[in-house]
Amino acid sequence: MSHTLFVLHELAELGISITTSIRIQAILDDIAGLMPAYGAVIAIGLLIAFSVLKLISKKLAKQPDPSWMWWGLAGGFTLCSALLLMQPLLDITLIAGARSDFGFAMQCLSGVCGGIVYGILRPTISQAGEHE
Amino acid sequence: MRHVTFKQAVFPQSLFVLLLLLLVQPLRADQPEFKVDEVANELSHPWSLAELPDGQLLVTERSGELKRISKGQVQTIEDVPEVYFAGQGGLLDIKLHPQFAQNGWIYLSYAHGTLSDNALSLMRAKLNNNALTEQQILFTAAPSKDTPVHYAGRIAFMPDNTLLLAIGDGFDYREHAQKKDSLLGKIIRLNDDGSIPSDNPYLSDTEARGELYSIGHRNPQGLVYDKQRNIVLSNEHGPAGGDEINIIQPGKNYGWPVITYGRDYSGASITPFTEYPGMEQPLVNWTPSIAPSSMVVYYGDMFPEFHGDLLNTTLKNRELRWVHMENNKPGKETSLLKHLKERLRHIEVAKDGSLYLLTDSGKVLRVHR
Repeated sequence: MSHTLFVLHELAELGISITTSIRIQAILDDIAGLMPAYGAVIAIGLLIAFSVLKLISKKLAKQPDPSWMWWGLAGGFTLCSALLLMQPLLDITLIAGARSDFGFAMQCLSGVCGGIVYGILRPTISQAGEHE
Repeated sequence: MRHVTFKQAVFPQSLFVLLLLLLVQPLRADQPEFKVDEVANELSHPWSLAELPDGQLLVTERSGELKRISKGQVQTIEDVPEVYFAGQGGLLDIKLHPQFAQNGWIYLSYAHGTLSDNALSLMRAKLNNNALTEQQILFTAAPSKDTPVHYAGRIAFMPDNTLLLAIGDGFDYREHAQKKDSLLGKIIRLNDDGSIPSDNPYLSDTEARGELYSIGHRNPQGLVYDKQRNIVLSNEHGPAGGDEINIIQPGKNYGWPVITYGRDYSGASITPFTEYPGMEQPLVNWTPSIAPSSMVVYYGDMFPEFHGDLLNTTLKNRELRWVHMENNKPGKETSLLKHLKERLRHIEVAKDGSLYLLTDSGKVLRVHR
């Protein structure tokens, strides 16, 4: 959503008229369009980041359940790393919504939010799993 | 045991062969008979080519050298300007002035600068013995950019001796294609000395750059003046899909990135629009992309079947895409030279009507009867 809104904002700055319904449709379109590639990169990144967080927390901090803010940090770190690692491939910004510093920050913030949500819901998920 | 008569055994196969021949014959009739000779090889990223009046070839190598090819011998021209060779940048197009025989001017486009600060430039020089002399830098695109891609760089001379130069959008700067105070994503028109013609279409717009000829381009790779139809044609790379051929008219907006039939490489949409008021629809839309890399309108003598048609080299499809024209309208398309399996970078019509092709693998090919 962050990506779509930044791209549409750039078009609106050119004087292009974009209605709310077009914006909603564009967000849905981008979710579907970005899912296979960018979604896969983020999913793999989060898997690595969350696994490393769990490992560090368990082995070094002797704390099997890190607090929600650590999960948020891991989520933000994942998005930041993914965007920075993609940049040198062609020296271009493959995710257009992250071309500006603000857009880049918003992508990272999305990762933070995703991580926090996962961190808060995770005990519930684990407990639910234990009853199965 | 079941007995099968001769008629029963042979007839189905015969029918099948006959049908196959009927299907194949029209395809073969579309394919002109070609001979392909290798003129030179092992060039470094050859990008464009010009034929001198004596039949020698000048070939730009994107890595920054200019080569003269004569009877299979390759010679390096000296004193070529330093270029920024990275990504898609480097020494790009070469064109001879329409009055080259009288004035000797050779025009070169090239990327220069650094990763953090680079731009497309245009210069002219004369070839004396084996070096470029009397060099004049005529133009540099602004603003500079920090991406090594989407330079465009094609040059086309008009009948009034003005020239058109295509400038790419720089990829990360795609919205600049709609900004009239930026030269990125534009086709510009200059006099042959680099000055701005007094009849350029945006001169009365105080917020626009005077060089502008048309706006809303992504990364034009083919740019030709069609002398018989008196029109300018261009092809350009879309993103994933949305490759285009356009008839370029002064003052028109070709829409990028507000309208396109392509999507971003990431899978995201570029824009919600494929049409918008005041923006031109493409003459030809190639979705999915074929990655057109140059174009000629053929009026040579050797291949009368191409007369007035558009021949487009392609990178992704590794073919010569023949667009049959019916007056100013594109008709059917035919794939040629697919068997070469080469990324074709450039096409030029030789004086005898044969075709010169450059390949990304470093070859100069001559296609003839």
